[in-house]
Amino acid sequence: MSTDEHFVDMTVIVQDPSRTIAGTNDWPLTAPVRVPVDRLEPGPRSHRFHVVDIDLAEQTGIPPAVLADDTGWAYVDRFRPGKVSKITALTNSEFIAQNVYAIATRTLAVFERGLGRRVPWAIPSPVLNLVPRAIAEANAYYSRDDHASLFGYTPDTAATKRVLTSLSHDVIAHEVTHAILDGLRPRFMEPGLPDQPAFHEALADLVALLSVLAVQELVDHLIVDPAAPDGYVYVSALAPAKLRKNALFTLAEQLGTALHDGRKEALRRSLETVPRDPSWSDPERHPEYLRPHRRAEVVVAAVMEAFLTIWSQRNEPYRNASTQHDDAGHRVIDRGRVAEEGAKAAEHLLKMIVRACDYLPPVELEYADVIEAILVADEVIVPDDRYDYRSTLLNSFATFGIAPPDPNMTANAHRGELDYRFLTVTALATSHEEAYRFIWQNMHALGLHSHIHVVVDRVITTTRTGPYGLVVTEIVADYSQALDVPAGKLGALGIDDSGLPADTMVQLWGGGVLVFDQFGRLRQHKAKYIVDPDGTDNTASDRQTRRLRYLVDNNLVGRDGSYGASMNIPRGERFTSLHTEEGDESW
Amino acid sequence: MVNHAATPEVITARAYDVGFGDCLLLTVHYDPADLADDTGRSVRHILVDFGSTRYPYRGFKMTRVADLIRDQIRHDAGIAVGAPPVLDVVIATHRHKDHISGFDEQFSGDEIATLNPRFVIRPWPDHPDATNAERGPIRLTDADREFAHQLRGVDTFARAASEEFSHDRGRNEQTLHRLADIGLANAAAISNLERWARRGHGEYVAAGDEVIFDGVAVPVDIPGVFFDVLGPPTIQQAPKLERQRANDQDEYWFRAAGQISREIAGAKRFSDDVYARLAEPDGIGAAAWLMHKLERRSVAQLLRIVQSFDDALNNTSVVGILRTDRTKILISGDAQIENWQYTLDRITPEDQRDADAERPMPDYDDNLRDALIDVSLYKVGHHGSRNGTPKSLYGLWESHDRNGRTQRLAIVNSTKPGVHSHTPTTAVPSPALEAGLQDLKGARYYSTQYLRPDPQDPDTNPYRIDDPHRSLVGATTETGRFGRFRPETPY
Repeated sequence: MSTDEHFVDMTVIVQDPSRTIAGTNDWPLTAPVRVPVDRLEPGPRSHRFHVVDIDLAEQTGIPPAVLADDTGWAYVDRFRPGKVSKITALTNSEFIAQNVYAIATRTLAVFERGLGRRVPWAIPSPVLNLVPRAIAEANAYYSRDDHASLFGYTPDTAATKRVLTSLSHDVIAHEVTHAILDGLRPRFMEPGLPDQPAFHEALADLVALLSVLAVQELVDHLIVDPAAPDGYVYVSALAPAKLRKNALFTLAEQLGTALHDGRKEALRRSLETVPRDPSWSDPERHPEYLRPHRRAEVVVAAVMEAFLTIWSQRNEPYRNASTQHDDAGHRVIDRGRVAEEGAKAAEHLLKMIVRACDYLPPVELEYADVIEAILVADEVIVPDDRYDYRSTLLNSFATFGIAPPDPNMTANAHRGELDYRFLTVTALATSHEEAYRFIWQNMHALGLHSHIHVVVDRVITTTRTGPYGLVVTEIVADYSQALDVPAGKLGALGIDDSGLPADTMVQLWGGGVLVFDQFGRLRQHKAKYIVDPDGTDNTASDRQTRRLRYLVDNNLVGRDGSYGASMNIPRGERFTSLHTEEGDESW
Repeated sequence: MVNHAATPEVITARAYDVGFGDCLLLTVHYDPADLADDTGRSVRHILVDFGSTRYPYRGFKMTRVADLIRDQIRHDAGIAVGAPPVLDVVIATHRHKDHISGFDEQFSGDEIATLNPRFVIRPWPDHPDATNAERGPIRLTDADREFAHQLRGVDTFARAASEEFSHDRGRNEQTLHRLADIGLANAAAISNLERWARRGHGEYVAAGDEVIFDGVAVPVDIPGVFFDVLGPPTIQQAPKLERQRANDQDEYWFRAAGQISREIAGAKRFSDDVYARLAEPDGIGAAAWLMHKLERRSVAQLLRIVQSFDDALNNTSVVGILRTDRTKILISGDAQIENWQYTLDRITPEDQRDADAERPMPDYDDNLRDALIDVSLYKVGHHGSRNGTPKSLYGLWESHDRNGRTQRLAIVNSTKPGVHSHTPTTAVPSPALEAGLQDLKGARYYSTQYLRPDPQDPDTNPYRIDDPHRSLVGATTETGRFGRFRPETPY
């Protein structure tokens, strides 16, 4: 049923099929969620997603689900809460298809709304396939080669019914986020510093977590306190430490319990184990944080700490105004209010993180760039940080030793006057060539060396509206540079060769993002220089030295023995969402 | 007549350098006045594993090690050349190639057969006929049988998978190696072990068993020596081993393996009917591209299944303490946490256990805890990989070593670096584990890898390149503790 002409409500399983509504045993926690309207062909198949229910292990498949009429526009939610039982949810193919479609579409919508534009896939097709029962394993992954996110299941056994990863909200959101980030930043697949693959995991986890926390019903469900009067929570339960314990640990407890402990452990570790100081980044002390999934926990931890602080701050007015008490005289407040504030905080943080994606350097990402991009992107849309979101995030990241390299990004925009001769805004907004012309005319001012080729990878225009109705239009151009150098010549560039033989080839990467305002004037330039610009410090060469050291130490070498061009990891293996962790007994 | 009251005087342990593999020969010496059997022997020999997947150096031969073992047995027993030597016990911790390839006649199975192995100990999942539970000391449940049955699918799976990969050998070399390691080449070794067991005696052991070498229950007498079996636990003891529960994954790994190996073997593709149903109209609709694409992909999934089988087999390893009144030798094959967990639970006092643990908890066993603290020789598990020596076990030793005791724990690793993984976090042996073991107070760490020159860095190796030593050898002193191990170039 339409809520308005742009959205329909589609019922999905809010968390995981094993989670039931409090007080009942056989109803998974379902809720209708708002999904952008699209013309739906059987599948369902929209202009961005196609659900294909094939099973590789059994070599069989289920015919496409028909969710709308022949025109494709008249959708009816047949699975509204109360109408669907747990058994239906676990076995009804049409519900399974609707669930994966709705959550994937919603996840994409989060990005498109945040970025103010359509988000492309990294694949040469506007449509990403979603395969809800692809493989007979408790796993799920995004595969660029297959143009698909593949979800696994546990086969039926005598003891247990099959369990599907495509019924878990967080698994779907996680995998689709990998696909989205791959579309936004395809070069994050290239060999880089360990932060780069870790950020892929962190963003996927954060989108999964925060989009779940942005569902008010779910937050409400998390903070239920059986001791409190019905519909209320105790005021004393609103401190960040209590919210962490009650809401987030409960959420961790509920993650993926039907399938695998990995996700649960990952969130638990983010909340507990990751050191609340910069020591995680010392590979001698904490080699485990060189692994992408573990390293991702650091950023998840930083954002979740900020979430707790903000949620707690948002509760403050109600807390102070609360006049109600339980029978024993303890102050209580309306649970729905607290849940609403939690959902709002989650949604806002999610938006901030999503908006940052356009400001991330297209190559050579490091965590410091992430917090910088979040702050800069938010400042453009919300100049006054009324609820302290930015400072809270800044402080939270700083706790982990992650600080923006240059809080004022305009500082490294250019050196000297920029030359805009013969450039037009209209062409700049649409043409790679025009963007390259700008770079060509300003090579030196941008700190680039003209003897290294520059490729403009993408030019986009975004239009976003801030919370106070401020409309911001920007033109964003990404460029990259690659240089193949024998290890013997790295020294001349100020880069340590990590002890490689002189004839070993090393591919260096650099690149940046140029942000122009609506008049075509450069507003920001975020550069990860391939080599140090003339007359500057050795930031770039230091980074290249660290990157090469990391690639060499971890044997991330291409099949041809070169470093930096490929990593010899099967692509399908890079984005598995449910990964085996050895636990605390391993070294 | 054997004097069953005799007690061992000295135990000698020899870790032969077999590269990436295991081969530990234990010699139990008695006072000849105290013990001499019908042939006049006053020693007993126990061989724990004999296999390798990567040799220590070019030109190495397993038969050479088998000869060394035979010569050692003869020498210890004072048997003249030509007379039949006796190998009293073979413990085959599990059936990975790096633990049993030496029993295959293609390598050195014939040489070992001449030692007349009398008693073969294997883990219960290796039981060739799990339905006949009478053969072993344990009673197998349906779940155990199902698990053992699924494990036996390894060979079929590995064979089918290697065929799949062999079309592009260069590209898939590493995978083919691993497939070979997990099962393919081991059938002959397994059948030899079975033959020796039939001729003499065989037992399939599980956690909780105690093997008493009294010449009655088993036809081998090694007075004063007992084998307390700590693993593998049965499914009932450790459901994680099989992970039948819905929220664990191995159950469906096994099922998936069956499905996929059939798929590969039969090159199965989606039928026309499936195409017609999913890709309307007539199988050429929008979904057809994806279906064509996906039916050709199986490599990534295969690799994960290979890994899963690998772990499952490792976890069938026999873990146990060979003990006398003064000496305790801990062996653990390639057991990982799923196998170890049962033992760790047994030695964790009830008030310190994880209250959220979703597994059946065994009773706390104070004696076992003391026995593990008191181990005199630890043969490092899983060649020193990061998951073969539980941190809790290490913690047990560490916390009991701070009192400035004298040397009491000898630690021997049998490994070869550079075979599996090169990253600091996953390399075997694990740098973190080795550093931990070296730092352990009251302990000395030895590894067979230091018996040979390091080709990367010959200067740091204490031994000359042209004279690799064959084994590390140590013997117990009057305290029952092992003295220094030394490199040995034997007879």
